[in-house]
Amino acid sequence: MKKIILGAFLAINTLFGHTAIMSCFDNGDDTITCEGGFSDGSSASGVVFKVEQNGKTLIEGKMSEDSEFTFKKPQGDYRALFDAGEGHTIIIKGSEITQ
Amino acid sequence: MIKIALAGQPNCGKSTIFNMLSGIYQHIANYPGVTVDKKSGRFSYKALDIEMVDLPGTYSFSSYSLEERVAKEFILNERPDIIINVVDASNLKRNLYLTFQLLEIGIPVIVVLNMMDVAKRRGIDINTQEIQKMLKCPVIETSGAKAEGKNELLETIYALSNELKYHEFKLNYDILEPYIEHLQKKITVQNENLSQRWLSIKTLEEDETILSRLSFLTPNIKEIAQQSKEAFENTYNKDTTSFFASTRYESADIICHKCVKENKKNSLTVTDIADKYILNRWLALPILFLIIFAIYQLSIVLGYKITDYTWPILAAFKNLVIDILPQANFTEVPLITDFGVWMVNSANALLNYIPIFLILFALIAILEDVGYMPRMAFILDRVFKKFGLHGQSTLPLVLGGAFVGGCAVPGIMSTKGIPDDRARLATILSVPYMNCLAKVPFYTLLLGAFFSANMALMMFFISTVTIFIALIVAKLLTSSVLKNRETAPFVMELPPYHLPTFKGVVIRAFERVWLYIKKVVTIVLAVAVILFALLQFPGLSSEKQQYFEQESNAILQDFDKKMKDNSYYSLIDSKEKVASLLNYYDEYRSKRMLTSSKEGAQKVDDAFIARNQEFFLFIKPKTNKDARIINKELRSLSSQRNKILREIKNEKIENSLLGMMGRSMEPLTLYAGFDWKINVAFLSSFAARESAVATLGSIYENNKADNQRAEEAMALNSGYTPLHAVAMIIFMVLTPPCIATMIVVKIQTNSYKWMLFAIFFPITLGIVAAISIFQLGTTHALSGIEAMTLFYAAVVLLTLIVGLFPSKRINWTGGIEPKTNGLYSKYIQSQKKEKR
Amino acid sequence: MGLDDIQSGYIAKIVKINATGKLLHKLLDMGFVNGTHIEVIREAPLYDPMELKIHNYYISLRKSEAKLIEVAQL
Repeated sequence: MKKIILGAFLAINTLFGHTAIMSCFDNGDDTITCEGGFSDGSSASGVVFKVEQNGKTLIEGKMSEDSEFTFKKPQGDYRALFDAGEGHTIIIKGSEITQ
Repeated sequence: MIKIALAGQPNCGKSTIFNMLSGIYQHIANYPGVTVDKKSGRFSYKALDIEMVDLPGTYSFSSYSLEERVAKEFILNERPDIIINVVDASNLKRNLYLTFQLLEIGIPVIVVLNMMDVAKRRGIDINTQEIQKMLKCPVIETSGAKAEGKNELLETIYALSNELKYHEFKLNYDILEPYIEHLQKKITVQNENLSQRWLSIKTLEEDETILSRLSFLTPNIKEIAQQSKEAFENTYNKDTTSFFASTRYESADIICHKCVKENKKNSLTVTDIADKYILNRWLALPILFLIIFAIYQLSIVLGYKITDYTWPILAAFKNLVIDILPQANFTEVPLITDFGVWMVNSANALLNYIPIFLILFALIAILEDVGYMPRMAFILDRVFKKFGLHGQSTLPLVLGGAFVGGCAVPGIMSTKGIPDDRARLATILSVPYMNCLAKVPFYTLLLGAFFSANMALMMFFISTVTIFIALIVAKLLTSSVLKNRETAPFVMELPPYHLPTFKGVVIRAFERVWLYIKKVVTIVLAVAVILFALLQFPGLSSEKQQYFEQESNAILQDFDKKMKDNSYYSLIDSKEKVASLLNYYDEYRSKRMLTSSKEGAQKVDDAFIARNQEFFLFIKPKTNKDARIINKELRSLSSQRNKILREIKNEKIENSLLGMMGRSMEPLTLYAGFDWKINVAFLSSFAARESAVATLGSIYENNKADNQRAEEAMALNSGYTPLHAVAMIIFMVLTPPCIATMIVVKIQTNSYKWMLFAIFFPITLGIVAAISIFQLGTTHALSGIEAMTLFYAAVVLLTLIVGLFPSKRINWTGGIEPKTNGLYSKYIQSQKKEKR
Repeated sequence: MGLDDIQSGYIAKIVKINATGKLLHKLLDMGFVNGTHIEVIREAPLYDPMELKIHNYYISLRKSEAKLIEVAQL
């Protein structure tokens, strides 16, 4: 119970502050680059980035110093996840990523 | 063109009538010299132009409160042609008390019986015709919430304006009459428009406003009035003030007896039933906390979702600005571009809050309209009173940020309604201690870096310690600096609950958001300009400049070498061309960030292809081998360039005026564990608390390894411990929110003295507290979480001590008075008077 | 007895008002005149202030203020 109340405080407070954003490009050479950021200009470098397929994590890593992550394009359907924790999670479907 | 004044008691639905007549074209200003709102609107009906002013709600027309004085001065100075008296039909007797006073003035009055629907529902039957006959003025039935009665009212106004037939209204004051007539003869007036009798009555009531006006032509009017008053009191052994009041209420009784039938006298209303739970001894406080919690939960969670949609708009604006500004030449960014980007970032950070505030303010407006606020004051008054505050301080403190973040600016602006001068000032000076929403990213950064295991607990401490601090400060202020201010009695109506009107809520929410934009955004931007200068200048030393130039050139030469054998070399064989390509690349990426759909992406691509086909090839090389080489090197180049830019930025900050300030403060602040970098971050955040994160973040961005998050970088590289973080957090909690808050303090208190106090007192408090905790923590080797717990416990303990300490002060006579003038001796004196 | 001594649910009649100055004016304005009937509805959760019903509307008064209103219980 205590955890729930405390957790609620945390969630509400930290949810706020800045909005998370991400966009992905297909580089045309079988790799995809995703670039992340926050609305208040904070850097997204070091933020956890995952590529998931069928519920399994195919690739996991962190955003580079330039706030981007490049990975080999998987076969079939997949999802790109920008996981900044505490509610800032952005998901982009593979089918939406264009060249 | 006629001028109409709208008068009525609080909670009679005056605003709804005002909105009903004037539509949304309202203008809010101030009555001259005071912080009371003056709401006016213009509209036309048939051939008539009407200017309508909404007077502040007053229970009576004496001169004992600011609102009454303002209302009276308006009538005296601006002589409206008609007074519309809005009356709560379900509360006729008390409302008639004001009606009589208005009728006596001498200006035609239209009585509007509002909330007829509520009265009907309660089984209250009113014979409007009879009232009209007895008062000798038009009486119109309306239901403002349902917009019923609008046409009748407008017709009446129109008819009255065409033939201003005024029947003088005389309330028979029985044994007081001779004295009134006697005074009437003694008074000389400039203007015949106002009833002589009214002036005489007011004089006998010792009304300050009237007396000072009359004393110009009749200099000894005050003495004459006093003589008459004493003569009456000695003869009849009754006090004139009470007598006037009794007579008015008896007359109101007569009207009610004759014209009002209550069919459901003893059945419980919805309000009665609701209050059984809401004001129940055991349920009241839990319900209160639940409601506040729900408000924040909704506004922040919902508001955050909305920012997902509004952010692209702001970002697009940012891109537009960047497009207009001169382009960067590799690592040389023109000053104006730097400036432009800085300003846009500052503005966007603030504007991003708008959806959240909109929802928060709308929810609070709903709470106000429903009628819950007086209940809140009723429940909490005992606690607030202990600390020198007032039950009505609830709203300002809630707006300022009770559980979660709020904004002190609307909080302070809403202190207008607090009748008690001392409590009002105390509230204004304690609201800034509440949870400022903009400070949250700062806490998040530090908590993420140093307290990842205990984040929830720390956040709980931070969110809740503020209200205790606010209470302590309020008590401190009211016992010392504010000791001798006027206090007011806590006599507060508990109006029936009613459904809020959509229009009312929307108008109020937008009003407050607009206020936020006008005050906060404009001031913060102004200060941001100054900050920019402080952070930029004096800039890089010439040797550093040379160093960076060399670095840039090295990178460019490297790039050039690799490109020499490329078939496209001619397109990128000079620094300018490379810079141009780099800018093209940056622009493309930021534009693509904004679109999420395939069509949108295609549109961006098309635009860029049209601009420069070859460059586009380098961005999307597909299978072209040479282009792919360029693409790879381009990305590497971009990354290296950005690194240099970050280094330049950091170097600039270190050398800047602000940096120097930060360094000069170090000797003192080191006791709290703050080095110059933290000082700079705090200084820069004075404009807007959001900047603290950006500045602090960027200072540490530079020194971190690849792939480290800002939080991690801080944790590992800065050399700070959780204890440092606690000191920083404590300082941040205690220091005042942005400059905008300070400006609003000045506006509400009408004095620069208080504004300066509101700036320096918290800062001093903050640094003392931070130093104390840091020193204590260091000497006793406390961990971060232990230090924070210590601080929290100390604050709560202090609050409880202050709260439970019995107070010997009687609140409405104000301050601590010497015994000879205390309440008891006054009582004895009045007893003596009685016996005579 | 003072109004603050009346228990919830009971009705009292005003006999005399011992307040002065601002408080007196406020009370008079709100209808606390001699002879008026007041019903005590409840005390606040923290025992102060108290909620009263007078002239068909509801009002809250601190106990320290209610003390100054002399009443006769009905």
